[in-house]
Amino acid sequence: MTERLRFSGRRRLALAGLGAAALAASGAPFAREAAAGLDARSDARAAAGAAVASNPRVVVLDWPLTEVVLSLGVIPAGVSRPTWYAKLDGVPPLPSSVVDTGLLYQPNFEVLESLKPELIVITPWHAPLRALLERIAPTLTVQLFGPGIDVYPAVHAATRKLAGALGREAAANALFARADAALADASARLAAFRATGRPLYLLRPIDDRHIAVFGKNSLFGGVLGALGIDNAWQGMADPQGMSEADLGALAAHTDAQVVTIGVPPGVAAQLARSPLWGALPFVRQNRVQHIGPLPALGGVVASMRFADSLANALQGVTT
Amino acid sequence: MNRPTATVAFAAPRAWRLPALLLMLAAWLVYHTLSARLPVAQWPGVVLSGADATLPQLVVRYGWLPRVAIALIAGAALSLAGVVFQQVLRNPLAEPLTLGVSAGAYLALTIAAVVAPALVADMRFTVALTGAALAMLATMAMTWRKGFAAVSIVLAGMIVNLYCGALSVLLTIVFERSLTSVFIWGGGSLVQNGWAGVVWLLPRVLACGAAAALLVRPLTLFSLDDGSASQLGMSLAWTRPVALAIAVILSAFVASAVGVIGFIGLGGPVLARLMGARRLRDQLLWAPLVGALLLAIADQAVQSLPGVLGELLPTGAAVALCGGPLLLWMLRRLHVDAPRPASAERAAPRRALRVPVLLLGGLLVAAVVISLCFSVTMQGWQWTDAQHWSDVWFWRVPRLTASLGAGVMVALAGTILQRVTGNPMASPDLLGVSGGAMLGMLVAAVVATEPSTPVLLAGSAAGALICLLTIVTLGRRSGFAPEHVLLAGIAISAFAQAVIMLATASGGAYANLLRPLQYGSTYLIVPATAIAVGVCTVAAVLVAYLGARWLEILPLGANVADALGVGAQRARLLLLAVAAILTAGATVVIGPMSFVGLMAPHLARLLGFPRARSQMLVAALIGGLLMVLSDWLGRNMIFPQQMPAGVIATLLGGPYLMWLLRR
Repeated sequence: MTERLRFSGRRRLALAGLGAAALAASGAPFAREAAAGLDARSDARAAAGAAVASNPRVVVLDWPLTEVVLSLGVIPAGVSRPTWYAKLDGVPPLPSSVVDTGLLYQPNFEVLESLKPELIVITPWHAPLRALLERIAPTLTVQLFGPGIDVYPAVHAATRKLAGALGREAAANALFARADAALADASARLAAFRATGRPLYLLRPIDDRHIAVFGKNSLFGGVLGALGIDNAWQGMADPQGMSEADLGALAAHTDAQVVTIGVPPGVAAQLARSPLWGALPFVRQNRVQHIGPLPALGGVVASMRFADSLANALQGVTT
Repeated sequence: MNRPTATVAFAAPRAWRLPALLLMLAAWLVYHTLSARLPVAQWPGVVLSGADATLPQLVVRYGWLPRVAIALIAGAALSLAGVVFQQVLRNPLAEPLTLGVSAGAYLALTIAAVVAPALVADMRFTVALTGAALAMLATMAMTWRKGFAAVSIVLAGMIVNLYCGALSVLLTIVFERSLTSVFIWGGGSLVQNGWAGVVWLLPRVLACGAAAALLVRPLTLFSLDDGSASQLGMSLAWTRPVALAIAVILSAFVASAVGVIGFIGLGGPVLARLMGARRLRDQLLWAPLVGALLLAIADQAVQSLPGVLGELLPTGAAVALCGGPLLLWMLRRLHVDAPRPASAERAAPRRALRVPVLLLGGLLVAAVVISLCFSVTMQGWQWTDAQHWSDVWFWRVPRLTASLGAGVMVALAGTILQRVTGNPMASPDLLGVSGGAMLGMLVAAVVATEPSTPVLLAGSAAGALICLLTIVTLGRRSGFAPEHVLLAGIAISAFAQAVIMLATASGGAYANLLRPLQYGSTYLIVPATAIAVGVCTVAAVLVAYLGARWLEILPLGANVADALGVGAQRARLLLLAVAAILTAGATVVIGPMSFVGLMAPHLARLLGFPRARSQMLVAALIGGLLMVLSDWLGRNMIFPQQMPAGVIATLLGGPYLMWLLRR
């Protein structure tokens, strides 16, 4: 029964992939990102050939890791709160057939057991559960962030580790090749901006008084580094690479460019009313670009989406 | 015109010293943080140079300066609210945080953020005021009958706090990622990015201040008791609600402008009184001044902290860190009535023990069977038959055993506490031991690189023990006067809450892990833990049985007890220690905030079992039943998500308790 469900889910995905490809052909900007993940999966399937039939039954207890698993061409049997994966703007999309295993840090053990997984993927933050999870299936801890770790290289290491555990090395190689190509493409489009030598603030406004800044060790900070762009935020950041800051702290670089990621509805208007925001040099000189919502933490697909969006946003910025 | 000043000088010859000292400290800190941002030579330009100002000058003009202003205004407002609360309720410990007003506002905002995010931005004040007012009404309703006695009010406020906290947790667990801005707000952040906040808050606080000033005369009469005040021609009927409304509105103004900031409403008035402002008129003048300076000092101090801490620490949490010790210190000065002998106020008819016990026992067995066999699975509700039993027993039996054991232990602890203190509101949740256990668990989770279950349990036990020792040390001074012990416990609970708030406000990875942990982990129980809890439960029942005689005698008062050959002080110490150990054991399983320990003894007495031994027996059965039900509901209510049993117990118990206390 579940086999049939998964099959229909896969078929739906294939349809979605076709649709996305059609959209991409018609030049819709976001479909390119969506297709990136889907293409990666079909690549994986092509490479793995017959292995597709033996799609490993895997349960993932983390949303960024869900993205990594999906991007390797494996559809998990179960994921914690699947709705949140979509709410956090995850791509590739998660088929609706995937079973909800309950809360992130308190998965429902009975549901897990009835899924009969071959592998459970967790983060180091699930350590208290590990002994219990081991009873159900072999458990793999994959770390994307932590004290003293740069998220960007950690994402690559995690992708390799998961590919090894899932028997998807070929898919991983294809994904990395696509990521390199996407990065090279974005880098070429960003040449003009790079020539300005401006450092860049990556911001996600939280409300009218607080702003989250992406630090050097964040995923997007790592992408910036790979694109040869300076991150203007040199301050401290938490293990995920984010830092909460007030607007005054952004005055340090008078020549900085700003890119905001996923401004919550309503907050843009509030910011526009703030005299401090208006006084900041990048606002005065009209050097603020916006890109749509992206997950702050994700895998290689998220990095590709970010690189592409960034290139789109900054393509025209040449001074 | 000169009269008020003259009065103040007369009432408090040294009144100027403390404010002067605070003013100097504030001025030095302000100088320190400002000169770190801007060379002194450029200071005048902040105000004078208009649109030509340099960027650092603009940052000071629109960021730093309004932050100083809002700190001063909010501090004054909270302090003023504290004075009014304390005067009207005749209670030196009353303030927005201890009365549950802040928690109510926080809950209302959390709900709004989940239900209608657009509301939060536009109608923050209305939402906060609604929550604050409802919480105040709940606290008042619970203590109306007791004439707003100091300890009762603080206990009721704490109950409202806990209940609102449990509801917030429930929402947090389900909607976590949409609540980032609410978490920041809960930490109390004074960050400003323009003068809009000041322009909004200042006239409103001034209006409330004026209203309070108009009420000085009737308010002063609250220094007398209700009877004398009425004889002097004052209408308590309208003065009290009006004054309370002013204070609640003030709290809500501050809460919606900058978030939850506790203890200023306690600290301001205390310091004002300490420097000699005895009369209400003087307190209304000096307390806001002192409060304003206190908050400004705290905020400036936070800003001058080096690097990581300075950027991370919300001012509200920083203030709360100082608040716990302040509350402990105040306890020494608080006059508390000796425990009253349990009067015949509720002489429920005594009943034969056998039938109700058999009935409750039967219910308990039924609940256990249902909990083990009947639950939601991926195919919907299912009765687990024998052949599938081997699949599920491992997940259901240990946590059921642990819940049952924890319910029994916490019910026994509650009965012991209520009998020893003679206070029907006493509860292990309020003893502070749970708070300590939680703190220990938090430290263990943060320090350990890979927090495993034994590490967490060890941390929890160590925290509970340290807390217990603190309480015993503090209690020795008063000969273990129960009210003192309880209030010390509340102070520790409040402190623990503040630390947790601090740890989770930053929204980092720890926060996601810690939030569920705070509320108990029936979830992580393995058979070994369950066996340990079971053994503890059996031991607890034995100890409680042995202590029954003391529990019978102690409520009669220390004199009677001594006369009967029971050393009241020694007996109290021992019983408190037993209660604390039971609480620590239960906290690990069901978390620090269930009302089971409060509710079970109540129900037992209402059912007609006032004697120690029978009350404990019935309470233990009820406690076990409640926890088994809560665990079952928690597993199945919003399947496949699992709610902590402690939170469910709180949600079940809260309304009943409030209804009970209202009578």
